[in-house]
Amino acid sequence: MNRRAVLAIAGRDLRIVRRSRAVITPIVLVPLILLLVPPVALLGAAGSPEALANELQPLLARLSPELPGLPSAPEQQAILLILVYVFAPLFLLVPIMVASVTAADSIVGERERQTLEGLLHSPTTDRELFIGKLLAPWALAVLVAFGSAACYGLVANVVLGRYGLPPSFPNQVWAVLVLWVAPAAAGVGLGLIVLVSGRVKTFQEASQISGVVVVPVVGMVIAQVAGVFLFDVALLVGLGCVLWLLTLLTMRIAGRRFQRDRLLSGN
Amino acid sequence: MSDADGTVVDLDGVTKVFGEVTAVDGLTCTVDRGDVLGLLGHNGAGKTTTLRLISGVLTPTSGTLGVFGMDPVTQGAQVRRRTGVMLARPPVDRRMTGRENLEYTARLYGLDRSQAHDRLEELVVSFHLDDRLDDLVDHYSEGMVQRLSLARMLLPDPALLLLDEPTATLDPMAAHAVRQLIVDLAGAQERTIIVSTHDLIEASQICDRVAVLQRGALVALGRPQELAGRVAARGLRLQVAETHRPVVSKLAIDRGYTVEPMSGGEMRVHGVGYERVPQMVRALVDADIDVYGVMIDQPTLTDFYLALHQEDDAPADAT
Repeated sequence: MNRRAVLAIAGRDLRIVRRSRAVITPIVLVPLILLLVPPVALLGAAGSPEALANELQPLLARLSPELPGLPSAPEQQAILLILVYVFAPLFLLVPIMVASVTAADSIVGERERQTLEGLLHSPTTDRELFIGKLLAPWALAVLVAFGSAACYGLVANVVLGRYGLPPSFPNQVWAVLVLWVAPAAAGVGLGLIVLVSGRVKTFQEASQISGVVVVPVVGMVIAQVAGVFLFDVALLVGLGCVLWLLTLLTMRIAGRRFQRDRLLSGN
Repeated sequence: MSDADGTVVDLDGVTKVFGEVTAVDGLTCTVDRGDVLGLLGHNGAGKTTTLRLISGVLTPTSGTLGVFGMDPVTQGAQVRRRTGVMLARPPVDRRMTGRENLEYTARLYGLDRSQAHDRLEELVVSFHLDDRLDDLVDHYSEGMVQRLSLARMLLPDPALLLLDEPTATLDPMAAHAVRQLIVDLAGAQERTIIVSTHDLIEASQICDRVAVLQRGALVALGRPQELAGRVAARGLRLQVAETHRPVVSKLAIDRGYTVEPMSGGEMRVHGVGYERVPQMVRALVDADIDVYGVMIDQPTLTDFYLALHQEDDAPADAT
């Protein structure tokens, strides 16, 4: 494996991302909208916490015996559940979106800009090219996810303080979410783009396709609020396993398809 | 298939099929070290596909390829390490500076830092890129982009160059400079060059041999002069006094030739074979014609190419 060439491809793709408004905008906006706006909005809702407690009644009823450490006041319970558990699935959108948008630019965008063929003529193997092309989007997605989680934790602690609760971040749930599930989620985002890359012509088309992942994530949020399940450590470990398996599976398929001949002839 | 005997590229019955289209059909030819081979043919004749097969970015459907004695299908990375490619659309990234593009290429080819630095400095000076090297390529003129693309191709010091229509988008001066560079790279530096082009005059000037492709198949291979020689001479071009032109026409027609008036006071006498030129000139002198110029209208590679394709394009006889 020519590591130098792999790192050269990844480094160059990161440099290009920094200079592309179409790529950098969603990378900045998605975490901002998903992870900072909702907890800040909770600060605004501090005047009517009872309403929140009513909304989360099914979940609170189901969890009271399961989570003995919960505060006694229903409003405080509601805020803690929202910040630690309910918003957790939304966090997964960050690595998925960042990985897929960056991969769309790296693979489909490169073909669109007609610079892909130059790269295909370079002294790299198909495998090195494949890894080099995926390394930058994956690393960036994980990095942005870590940064976003850190910022979210800070804001969430401020919100908790406003409701008279002690800081809860970092905690076990988010540690598993960030360190185990997020990198796998980024892998799923990458796999999605690699699989569709042969069928789409533009970067925009490819990045729009990644929007489909919003549906299951929103489903997870609703399911939690309805008390169907809780994003606890056990569930997250299991979810991480499923996502890693999905990632491995898609990468295996995509890796086989990622051949110079196919990329040029479009077969 | 060996590099040792001076053969750099060896194609043996190479065929490439895309779906139902045969892009390259049983191509067989060799290219020796220091040779410049021109690939000629209409759009879709298989020129670019041939270059891609040699570089190992496409896999042949059948046939065998050898480049530097290696198989580009299984040893593609090693083949490409010694091969420089210049594409019709320069593959430089416009969102990076010229320097970043070159440094990226150096890393891809595994050049060590000091080696890359020295080579880069040398190339940017010779391609007059030094004062704009840190500008984004997006701000370059097309000529500069092409020069950067050339510098990028030569940076790893490749022994084999594959050029896909290298002068297609250039102005006459820049195109001339590229042609001169190709001649220098093959001649003094003994690099092997395969160049696809639509410019037949360019092919005559820079290529040792040309291969004409038609629907993927090789229909002619040889030195440009040799191929041109396969076409019948077009005749004699005469410059005579205007008042004598009717007499010249009569003389020519009496001998079974045809006459075509040309611009600039010239006339072309068709059908005069090389061996009959002295006879024709003697007849003109005997008839007291004021002759200002006689030129044998030699066929060119263009004539050969057109003749070849006219045969191919001619409608089948109705029976």
